[in-house]
Amino acid sequence: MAADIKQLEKKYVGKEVEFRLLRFAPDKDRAPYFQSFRIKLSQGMTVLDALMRIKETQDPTLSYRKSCRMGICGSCAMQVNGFPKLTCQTQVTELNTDKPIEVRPLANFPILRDLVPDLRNFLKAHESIKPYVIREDAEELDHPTGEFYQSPKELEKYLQFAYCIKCGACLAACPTNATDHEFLGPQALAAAYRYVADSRDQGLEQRLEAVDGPNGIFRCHYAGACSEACPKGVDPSLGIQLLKREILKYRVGAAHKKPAPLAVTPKGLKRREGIPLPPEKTVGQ
Amino acid sequence: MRESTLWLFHLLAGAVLLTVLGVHYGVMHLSNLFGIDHATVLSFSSVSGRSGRFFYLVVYLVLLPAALYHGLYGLRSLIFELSFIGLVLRRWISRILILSGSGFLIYGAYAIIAGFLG
Amino acid sequence: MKFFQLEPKTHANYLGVKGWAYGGRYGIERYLYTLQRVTGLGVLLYLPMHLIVTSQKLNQAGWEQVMGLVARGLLPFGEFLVFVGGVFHAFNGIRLLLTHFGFLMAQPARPIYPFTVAALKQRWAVYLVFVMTTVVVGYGAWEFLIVAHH
Ligand code: SF4
Repeated sequence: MAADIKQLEKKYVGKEVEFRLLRFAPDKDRAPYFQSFRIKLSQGMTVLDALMRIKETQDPTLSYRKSCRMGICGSCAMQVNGFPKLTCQTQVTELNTDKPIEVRPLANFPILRDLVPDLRNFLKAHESIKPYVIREDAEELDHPTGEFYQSPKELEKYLQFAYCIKCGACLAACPTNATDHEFLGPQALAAAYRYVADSRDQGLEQRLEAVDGPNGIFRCHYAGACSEACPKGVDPSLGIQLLKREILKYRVGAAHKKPAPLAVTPKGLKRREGIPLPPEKTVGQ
Repeated sequence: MRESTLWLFHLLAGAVLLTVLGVHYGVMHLSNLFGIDHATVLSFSSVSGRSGRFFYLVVYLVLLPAALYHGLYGLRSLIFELSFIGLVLRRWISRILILSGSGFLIYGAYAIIAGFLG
Repeated sequence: MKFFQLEPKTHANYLGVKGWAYGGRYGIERYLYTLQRVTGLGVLLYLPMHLIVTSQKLNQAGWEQVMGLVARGLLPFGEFLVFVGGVFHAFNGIRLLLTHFGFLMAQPARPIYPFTVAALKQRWAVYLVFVMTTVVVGYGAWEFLIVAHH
């Protein structure tokens, strides 16, 4: 792909391209409709850039959600030519098509306005799986006296799933979300695994309330589409299957998990000369 | 019941089906592989001969509930994933599935056992 | 005019049941999800009919009559389709069973571009499902459609 980007640029840059955008104003329109805009492509223009150009120069009422425009905030996921993508990460030339480029709001979410999806249920689902470290020693969490141990290997077990930016692309790809509006969705379930797999956490049982419910993890039949759509390489379908395994272990009583202990400061060692002192402790004074 | 319990049974029933349905398919439809003529397999004498054997009694008594549970739970998940079906309707659908499942279980078990004894 | 609206008006934008049949340019796994459902439903629909038919084995006259009935017209072909669906459902079921417990899957790794997708690394299993289905169905077809009619 990357190799022929130069050729693609030669082919498309400077040309006029048609964008078909889905429009919907809830106070005026009864149903969404497509509106076309034509703009000239400049080099490196992303789909989001194109939307901004259209808003600036042609129709200031066009609504879309965006913030960081560099793949970090997760606001700008939309269906670009039928596939959920972060528009800020998708260059128009890379779509490599002469046909009009169709941009719709993310599928499987209600439309608030134009290209803006309604993420309230999505975020509620994320909240319901308790996305934070849960431990029995709550006192330590509230008034920490130090850090918990965690080896790089333990980190790798969940790190991938911690990269999620809550863009919602995975839900737009999921066939269960297509019909089941209450399904927790790949994002929340992968997030649940991110905490369950965390060596510092003890919250599997508490999370099961949401995860093991009628709209929970067992509505996933492994289509794998969420992982294909994810723009951050989170691979939610992998996380979900691994979470199923954890639940099985728990149900057969094999889920022994001692949470990571507090890291103790070694005592009785002498500091080598010339090594600067560590910064002041920020917790546990 | 917890969803994980129902689902684990679904998988367990699936695994059971893999073996017993394998036997069933093997005997009924791939019998030529074992040198038995297809028409013979389906003749009354051979069918009732098999029914009278303890091995087939066990196979079919395991196959029947496993198939009913696996199939009806699958149907239930499919239906419950359709959001336009409301909660009240879901409750009724669950009841109907349980009732029809039990009905077919009794009916089938009767035929299997009667075939074994007769 | 309303200045403040707690519940904004929205427009549903779910793909719906059509989304099972087509969702976009995803891998074949997303469509196997649907195929697994369709074949499962097919076999399930067949089950009560099959129970009723086979329970006629309790007496010879009933059995011979019902065997004559099901050998008519397109019914044997229908049965063959159920067989095909069942075989596919079984092999794909093995793949899913293993996957649900995290086997056949890559391990979590740091997401370094270009990202890998564990689901796609499992393609060989999908191909194996098709190969196994074809082998068994191929043999079954011979017995179902050819041998059975001689
Ligand atoms: S898992 Fe991936 S696709 Fe889903 S919300 Fe997170 S970043 Fe977006």
